[in-house]
Amino acid sequence: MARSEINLKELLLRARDITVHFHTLDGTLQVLNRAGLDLFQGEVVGIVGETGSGKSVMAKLILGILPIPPGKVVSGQILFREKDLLRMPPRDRQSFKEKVAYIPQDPTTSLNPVFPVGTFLVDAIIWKQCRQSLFRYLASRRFGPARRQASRLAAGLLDKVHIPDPESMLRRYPLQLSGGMRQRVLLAAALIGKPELLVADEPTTALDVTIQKRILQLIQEKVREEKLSSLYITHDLGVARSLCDRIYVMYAGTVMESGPAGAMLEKPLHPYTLGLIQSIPKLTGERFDGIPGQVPDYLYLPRGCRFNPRCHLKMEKCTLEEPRMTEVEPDRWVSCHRVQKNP
Amino acid sequence: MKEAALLKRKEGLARSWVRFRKNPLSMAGLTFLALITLAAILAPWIAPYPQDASLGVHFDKALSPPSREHLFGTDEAGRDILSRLLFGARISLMLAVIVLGISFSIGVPLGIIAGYYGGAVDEIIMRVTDVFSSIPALVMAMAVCVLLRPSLENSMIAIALVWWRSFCRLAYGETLSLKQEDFVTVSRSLGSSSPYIMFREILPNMTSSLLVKLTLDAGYAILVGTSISYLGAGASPPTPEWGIMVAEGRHSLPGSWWASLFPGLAIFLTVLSFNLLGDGLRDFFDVKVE
Amino acid sequence: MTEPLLKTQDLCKFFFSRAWKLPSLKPRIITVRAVDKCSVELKQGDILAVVGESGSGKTTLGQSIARIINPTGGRVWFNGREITGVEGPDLKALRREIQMVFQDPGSSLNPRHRIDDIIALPLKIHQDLSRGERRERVKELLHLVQLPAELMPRYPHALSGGQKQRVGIARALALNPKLVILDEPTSALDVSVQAKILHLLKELQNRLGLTYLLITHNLSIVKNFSDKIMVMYLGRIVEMASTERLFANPLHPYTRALLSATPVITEEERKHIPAEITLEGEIPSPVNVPRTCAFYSRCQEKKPSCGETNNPELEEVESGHWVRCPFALV
Repeated sequence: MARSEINLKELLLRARDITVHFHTLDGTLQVLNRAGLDLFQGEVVGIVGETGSGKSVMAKLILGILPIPPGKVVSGQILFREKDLLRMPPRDRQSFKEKVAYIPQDPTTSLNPVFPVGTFLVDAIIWKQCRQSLFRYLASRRFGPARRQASRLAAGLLDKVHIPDPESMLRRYPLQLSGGMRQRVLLAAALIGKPELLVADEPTTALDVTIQKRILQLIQEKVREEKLSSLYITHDLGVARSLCDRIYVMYAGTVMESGPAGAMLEKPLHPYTLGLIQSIPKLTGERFDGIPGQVPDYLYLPRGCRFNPRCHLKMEKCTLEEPRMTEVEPDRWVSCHRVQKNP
Repeated sequence: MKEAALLKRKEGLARSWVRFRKNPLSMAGLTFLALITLAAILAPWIAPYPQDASLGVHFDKALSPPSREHLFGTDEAGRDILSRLLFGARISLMLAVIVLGISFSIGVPLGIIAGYYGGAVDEIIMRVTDVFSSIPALVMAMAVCVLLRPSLENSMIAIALVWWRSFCRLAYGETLSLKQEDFVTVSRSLGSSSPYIMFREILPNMTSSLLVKLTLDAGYAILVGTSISYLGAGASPPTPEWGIMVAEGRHSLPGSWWASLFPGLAIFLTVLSFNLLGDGLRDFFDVKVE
Repeated sequence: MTEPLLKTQDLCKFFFSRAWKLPSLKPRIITVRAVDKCSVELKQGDILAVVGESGSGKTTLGQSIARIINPTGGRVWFNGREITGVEGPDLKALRREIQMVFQDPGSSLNPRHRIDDIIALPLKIHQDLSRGERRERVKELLHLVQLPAELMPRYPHALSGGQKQRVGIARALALNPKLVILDEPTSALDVSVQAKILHLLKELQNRLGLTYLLITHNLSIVKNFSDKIMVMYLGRIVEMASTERLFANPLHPYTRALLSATPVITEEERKHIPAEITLEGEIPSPVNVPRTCAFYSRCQEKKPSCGETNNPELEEVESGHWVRCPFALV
């Protein structure tokens, strides 16, 4: 089903023309350059890029946790159900935050080692329930029926992520758990309060590959069950392929290409995507090469297309003018002067 | 292109200096300390009444309030307080340098050795350190001073004997974490000797915390030094040491307030400046603050 | 037939600690069998990949061979001579022959040392060169790893990840070692840089006649880089074969699960891995490894007898292909 057939009512998140600058001692870093993405209900959208591509900045901006200053949103809008996140009044922001869940990258540092897993979950549950009232939170935090009920809910959540013996797990400390277990706990925490949007920032990077597979399956399962939409950030194309419906490939703060995962990885259109795929050693044993050159320093960006110094298809136009994202095939968007729409 | 970008980025020291400059409090601390140091060095030439710093006595002018001739007034022996303060700066700063120099030289190597070797060596050194740590600095320094015969030099020795323990602790802690780093493993696998690893691989990586500590401690050491002299166990009259000046002026309080106030203010401002500078340095080294 | 360059027999590395459980005053000894009886053979010019996840013991194995840590048991031969337990000047001589490249280029270079000092360190310790001669050698090594000599006076923080890793490689090659142990040399690097480093390593191997022991968890790299593969699980070798054979016919259930879990990018690739095998459960801790088959708790193909009999032996089921599973069908 091509995207153009879906009516806009199902569009959950739309980011358009996001340009973010970071003011540092050395100068202004243009970390995001007219980036944009769409997220439809029920989809898993992957943001794929190497280090420094701007994918985390994008995610943090959507979550509202990007430090501003030194960051500054120069232009763009992020529409969540047609309300602009960047210009929302605080109260609306609050209600948005309740609908979003976040799974961080490193499970080890994301759980406070001093508290048992149960305390962490119960606390989060109660806080979500008492969202407007600090007093109510303080009152119900330690004792009372609210706490008992929250404990039961917590055990239920742990069960949902297939943790064996949830009751005893509540009493255990994060350091007693393996990486995979911790990530499941974080996933359980993300499911509190029935979120609509799940933002996952490379949650399996630190895990072993067999554990990663299990966690990816778990995420897929929960996204389906809980009818979530998910934004999944990763640098691993293989993971993106297995998990995501659509992918956005970012380089130097710009979205270079986007499209359905399978189609894009089988037949990439942008030279960077092609180069990236070619850089990865494959089980087919075919030749793999790196991409010549280096990721540009944000302080000294090339003129025109940010990828041009490293591109084997470079034309003169590429060094002068930045290309715009165009839909060259149904649902395949590319930011490249070379790749044009088929007439 | 990377080279051009590298040129644009201020490197290392220059970069840190720019950051440091932005903090008004640290700059204030640095400025004041620079002034004091300058004043201390130039004391014999800029003090209005240099002879008052040692033997000059003018009982006719005793305890005169601040005036044009004597900007900070005179003390009970008629000596110009400003001049004495300037010479006193020399003493205090010198005390800081000597004390910290000695305790650093004792404490840091011991701490590194204890941290690196572990086992019995660690236990022995750290338990000795614990013993020295169990007594408050001032009390211990006082005790040593009294034992050795109170004098300025002995007070410096006493404080140094007490101060090395915290350098030892700091170096010990840093060594424990640094010795786990890969580059230490690499060095060992290449066959480096232990002293090389301790002092050429590990030590250079703790210079920032040591520097911060030195700066903050300088202030505190001066405080302890002046306290000892105030209590009579350190410098003795007519030395223009700030601590004794406060003690001497105490008798004339509150009428001749200037005799105690100005030395006290000098101590306060100097210690504060070291603290501000130390805080600034800590931020200066903390790359994450950026 | 030529002597293997490296040979180990029943190499073991155990870590011991004591735990007291009150009220008993007698401590219980906890043994972590990080490497449990590994026998390996490497011929000159080989690239052997040691593959496994956390707790497999692959890094410990590499470090034991490089004598960064000392093995607890077993015997090791290098270049025909037995080197088990060598100390002193013999150990120092050995260090010239066996070198290691570390995983994280950020932490394996001392941030307070300049690049030329970092690369010159092995030269200073082992060779009697004048300062000028050392400088020349450092320039030579930088050239070998395709780095400009301008980097010599700089500090590590000015270099990119790929450049830092090249410095690590240059340092490892300074003494012309015969065997280089590569501990996940590209895991900390971006994808576009990984390929270049791998190509560099391949080229260096050809040019200098090196032998590599590659430690990694990434099977895609292994397929394209190594001649032989050894799969480890909880300190034991569970399968060993030539790269071709292992991928064509993975026999051990763990090997198959590992392959199945490898993220693939294209459908073409997917054809090279076994169908969906997802392991349940966690990787058990190497503390107190069970005396039965180590993989029993997570094996999808286990038989009832697997939980009762002792750890099976490594059997050669076809020429050059060894498996530690009595039910592995060829």
